[in-house]
Amino acid sequence: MIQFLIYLLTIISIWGILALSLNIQYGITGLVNLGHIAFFMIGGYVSTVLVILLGWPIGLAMAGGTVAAGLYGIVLALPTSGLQQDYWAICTLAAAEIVRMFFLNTTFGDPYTGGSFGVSDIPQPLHDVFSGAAYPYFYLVLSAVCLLACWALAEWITSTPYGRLLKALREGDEVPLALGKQVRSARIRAMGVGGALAGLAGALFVHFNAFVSPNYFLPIETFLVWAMVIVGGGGSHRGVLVGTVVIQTVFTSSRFLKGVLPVDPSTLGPARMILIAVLVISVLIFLPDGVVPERKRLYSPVRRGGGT
Amino acid sequence: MKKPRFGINRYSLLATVGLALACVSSGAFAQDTIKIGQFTSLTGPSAVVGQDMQRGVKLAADRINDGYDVPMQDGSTVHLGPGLLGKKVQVIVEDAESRPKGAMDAVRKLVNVDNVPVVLGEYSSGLTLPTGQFTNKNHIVQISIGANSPKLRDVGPYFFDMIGLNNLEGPPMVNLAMKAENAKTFATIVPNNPYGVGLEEGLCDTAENNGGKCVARVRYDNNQTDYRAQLRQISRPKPDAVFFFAYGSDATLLLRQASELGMDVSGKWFGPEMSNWVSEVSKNENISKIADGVRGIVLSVGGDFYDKEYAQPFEKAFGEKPASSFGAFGYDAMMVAALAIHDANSTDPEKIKDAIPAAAEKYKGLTGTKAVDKDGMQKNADFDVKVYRDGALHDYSPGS
Amino acid sequence: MLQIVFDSLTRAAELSLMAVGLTMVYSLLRFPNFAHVESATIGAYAALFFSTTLGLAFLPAAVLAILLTAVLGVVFDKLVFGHLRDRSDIILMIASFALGIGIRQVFLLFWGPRPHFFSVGWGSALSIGGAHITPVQIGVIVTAVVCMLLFHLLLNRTRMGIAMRASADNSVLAEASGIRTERIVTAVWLLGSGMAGVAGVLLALDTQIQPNMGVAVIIPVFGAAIMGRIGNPYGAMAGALIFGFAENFGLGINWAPLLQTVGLTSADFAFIPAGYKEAVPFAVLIVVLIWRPQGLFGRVTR
Repeated sequence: MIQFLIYLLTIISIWGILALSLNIQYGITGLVNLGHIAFFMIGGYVSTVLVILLGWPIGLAMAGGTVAAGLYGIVLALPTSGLQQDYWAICTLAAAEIVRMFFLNTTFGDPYTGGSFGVSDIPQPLHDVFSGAAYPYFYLVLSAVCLLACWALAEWITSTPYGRLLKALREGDEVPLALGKQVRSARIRAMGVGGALAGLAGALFVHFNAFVSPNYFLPIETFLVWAMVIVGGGGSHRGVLVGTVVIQTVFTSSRFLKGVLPVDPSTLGPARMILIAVLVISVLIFLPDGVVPERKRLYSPVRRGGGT
Repeated sequence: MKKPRFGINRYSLLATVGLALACVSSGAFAQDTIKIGQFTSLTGPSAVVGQDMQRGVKLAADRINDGYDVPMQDGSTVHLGPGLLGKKVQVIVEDAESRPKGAMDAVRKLVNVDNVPVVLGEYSSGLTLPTGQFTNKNHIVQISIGANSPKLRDVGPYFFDMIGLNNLEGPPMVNLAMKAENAKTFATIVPNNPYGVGLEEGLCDTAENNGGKCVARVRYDNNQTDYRAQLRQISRPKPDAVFFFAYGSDATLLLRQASELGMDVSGKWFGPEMSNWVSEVSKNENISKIADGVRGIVLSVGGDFYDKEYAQPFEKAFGEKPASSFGAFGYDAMMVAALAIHDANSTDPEKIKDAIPAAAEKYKGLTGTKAVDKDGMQKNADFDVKVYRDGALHDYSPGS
Repeated sequence: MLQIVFDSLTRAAELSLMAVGLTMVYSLLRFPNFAHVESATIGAYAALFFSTTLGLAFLPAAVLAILLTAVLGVVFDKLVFGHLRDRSDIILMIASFALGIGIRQVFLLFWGPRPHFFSVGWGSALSIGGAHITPVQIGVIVTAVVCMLLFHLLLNRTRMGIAMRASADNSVLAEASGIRTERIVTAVWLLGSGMAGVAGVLLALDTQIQPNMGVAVIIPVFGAAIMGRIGNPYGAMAGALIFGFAENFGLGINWAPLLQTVGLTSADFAFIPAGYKEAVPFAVLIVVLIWRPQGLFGRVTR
């Protein structure tokens, strides 16, 4: 049981980084990225290929994956950052699917590595140092540390002038433009940073799982991350982490219902998914600001009694 | 703070989540049972085959719980049950949700929470490889119900496979097509997953080794609503023979659209592992007519053993025919696991793993001989050549 | 060549019926409705239910099914989206996504994952100019065209239609002019869901009925709606045509003659691998949007 909880917490940490990265793009900047999972995918695959084909050390490869994902974000944003929100959203989705199809149809080395077979036996970092029962604990600590670092980074970004610009952008382009700010370049940078963080999550994930295949990156995975951001309260970093916990927990704990209800698996499978759907919709309807709403920040004390 | 709508605030929501977590700790199910874990896709695009596998395993488990004479290769039977080792067999089924993350969560729960000694796996290599690595590392036996990537050979001593790895079908299929149609050029159309791609590689390699050529290799996505573009890619190079593989729900559409495009399905199409689509295709008389004349191979089980032992009881129990051959693989996996537990007289995974080779060797499988080699993979597979006609498979030999 | 045209038109017909409804709802309510394609699935299963379980003849079963689908569209709005009117579009998007999952599971629960078929719609293909087309395919194309024409007449010749266009274009201004938006919303849901229901019945006739039939085309439907500019039904039709043709031509172009001249291949046929089938229309979509960021029929609003 305890190993299951360790696993769950590790997954929550990794997905927490993913949710944070999406929050930087959406919650702060207002970019609706429907292809977010592509960063996760690129971070994971690039790290894998660097280790398996080029023999890089794992730490370096993970960094490579992070950078590659960030670059993808920038490359994607460059020609498209002028698009209106809805059009940009579908572009990101289309791009993510193209990337997934690339990995689905491309093998690395022999015909059974990569493509739909996926890549197995991905080396795990420091596997010789912590072996057996201790390794899951190590990886949990590693993921949690990365999560905390990313969270700190996200909070710091939000507190800088650049962060305030991103927040202003979320409310619409007009004000920042009127003030002469570089809107497009701010967006591109948000995509780069958010993308890089998601790539880090991807690298962490594939080395944890020791396996990667294109099916981990179907569009539904993006939507699950979106659910984590929205349920938690877009805009608040703390909130999206809570949202991650809630969504993962709902998915996992609903598996335990079968112990309580004696129902045929063919019925229970769909019933469980209906339950999850109802829960998500209920949260959206009944908790308007998400589980942890964003605190409105006042930048200067309000002066009473007239005068500016 | 805004007044919460409907009086529900975030704290009561968190309390509900906490309650759900509390359910998690209620891992105490029915005591005295032998727990077998199974992960399969009950929802999502893979649900057709997933449900089939769940039912195959259930059929076997129910028989064991009632008491059953399991047939052996040498004609004898071994009586299992009621139950195993005096306790009821309980199959804990977890939904893999047709996605690898779902499979991972499922297996982790089965191993770390339900503490099962044996996990029956899935047909997707993408789900089976990572879960296999996990169960093997934790010294839990996993029997894969139909994944076939060559990489599975290396998973480890606790991992077994009930299906032959991918390329065993190549030689008999190519042989058949060459003899029956004098075929020199071939086209393949397979799903874009490890099973399909493995088939394609095996078929085309064999064809090339025998002086033939694959002029079109098409990989399609499952569960789509339009395959015309893919079908045109195989028809334009005008191959002498087409090898096609599909699970029931895609096969019906492929056959329908192929015939609408004017392709000669009866004359030129050949199917490796035909049993995967026969029952779905036979359900609809229009599509069944299109498929009349398709030749191919199925795993050799001899006579009407499969029908009497499995297909008819399956239909009686679930109200419809098996959707694919994977349900039968699931049934065999459950039986082999049960035999091993019976022989080892224990639910210790170590003992079960040691007992499986002997159990698999002697057991008469619905899907042929189940003997495994030293890596736990199927040793060989025997195939029968069949032709589809009037809703069923009949024996066939080229030149007849 | 002609074959590709037939197949493209069929596909475009099926997509367009869904894309038009989607684009109207999208622009009126300002969110992408990921449950919209499920109205097609509902239409198909409802027609199946009415014709098999209740034993009606196909045509009345189909009509009843389409009416039911239209009404259900309004019901879902009242149950889910109506409560979220004042919220951000992302919240509505997630809600619609969850709703879509829920609807699919209901069909999975009651009909199982395996495909079902209507008992009608099975004729052999006609051969026209060397290409094959079935009576059903012709029916699909004709029905879609008729629906589009009726829709066009509705939009331009009726007060309701003109009000719908106005609201879709600029709902604030429309309301200021005295058009009652809630009524329009109901009308758009009825119409959009109903058309998707028609698409579902046609798709089921042409192919088969299974729980994922709606979500299988969700990205092309969205792509078509967006490519043509959100809120512009004619744009959605054009987008559907582009997607239909891109999917079929993309895989149908034989690059071998070209590659042979450059010495890259000696084979007679070289196609884009079928595994990339969906990538072609996506690439087209990205290129179109980069070239015309306001959509094909959009107006530049700077």
